[in-house]
Amino acid sequence: MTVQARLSNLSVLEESATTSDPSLRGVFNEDALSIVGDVVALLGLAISQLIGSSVPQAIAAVLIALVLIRISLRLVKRNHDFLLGQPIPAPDQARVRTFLLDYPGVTAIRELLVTFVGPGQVWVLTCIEIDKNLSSHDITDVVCGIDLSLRHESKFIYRVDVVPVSKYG
Amino acid sequence: MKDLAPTMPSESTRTVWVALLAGVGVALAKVGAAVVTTSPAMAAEASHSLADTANDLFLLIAQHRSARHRDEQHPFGYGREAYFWALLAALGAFILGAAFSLREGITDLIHPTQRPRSLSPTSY
Repeated sequence: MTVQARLSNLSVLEESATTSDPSLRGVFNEDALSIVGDVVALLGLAISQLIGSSVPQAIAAVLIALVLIRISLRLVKRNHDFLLGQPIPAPDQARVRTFLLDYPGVTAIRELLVTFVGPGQVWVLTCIEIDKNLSSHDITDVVCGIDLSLRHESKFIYRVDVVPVSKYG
Repeated sequence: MKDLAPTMPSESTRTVWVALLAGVGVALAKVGAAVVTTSPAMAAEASHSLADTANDLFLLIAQHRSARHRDEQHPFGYGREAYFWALLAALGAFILGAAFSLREGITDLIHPTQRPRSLSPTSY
């Protein structure tokens, strides 16, 4: 995760929040929570033994539970978002859009969906307007070219579906 | 359609295995300490560690099942299965860890006990 964070110019915390890999996110949160839980349990135990009452330990146990609930719900929500089709971050989406608009033969983008279909797997679905002077053979070349070029551009692109339409189509 | 490499990074699998093995050791130590000290906070931490270990098993299943190549029945691959199993893992942490910790804590808040003012090395 540290390596990925460095590659993405993000802090480890930011990477854990944005990564599409649920295992890395889960293990990171789990370990971070363990450290927090250990500190809270240690404090509860120490105070309990100093004052001779179990109340501080009970409060520590409740605090640990509350932090666990908070983190669990956050993880549930992140996984839920990815299951439903989490879009890639806006700057990356903008890069895909620019790439498509710069592609020879593409005149406009009617629709662009770039969503995760798995950890590090992105699906690009786009409906593009094609230069009306192109022949059907040229249009096929544009569609295939976009598919190949996008996959070449990023190893995270898992599948590309391009729907070409004419300006009035 | 089978030109794509298996998609789950091996780094993740390694990370989960390391977490699982370390988690088992930590959970056993905490369970032992909780039994010796009868401390609710330590019991809460032990339950949390056991839940973490169970979660890691779910995450390993996620790694294994989502690494499969796409096929005609599943044209988008199996990547999303990783999120399904990770969702179960997160729910497991919630149910196993938090519910037990909360029960321990609340029970002890309602019925607090006096504890001897001696330091137990096991707890630390």
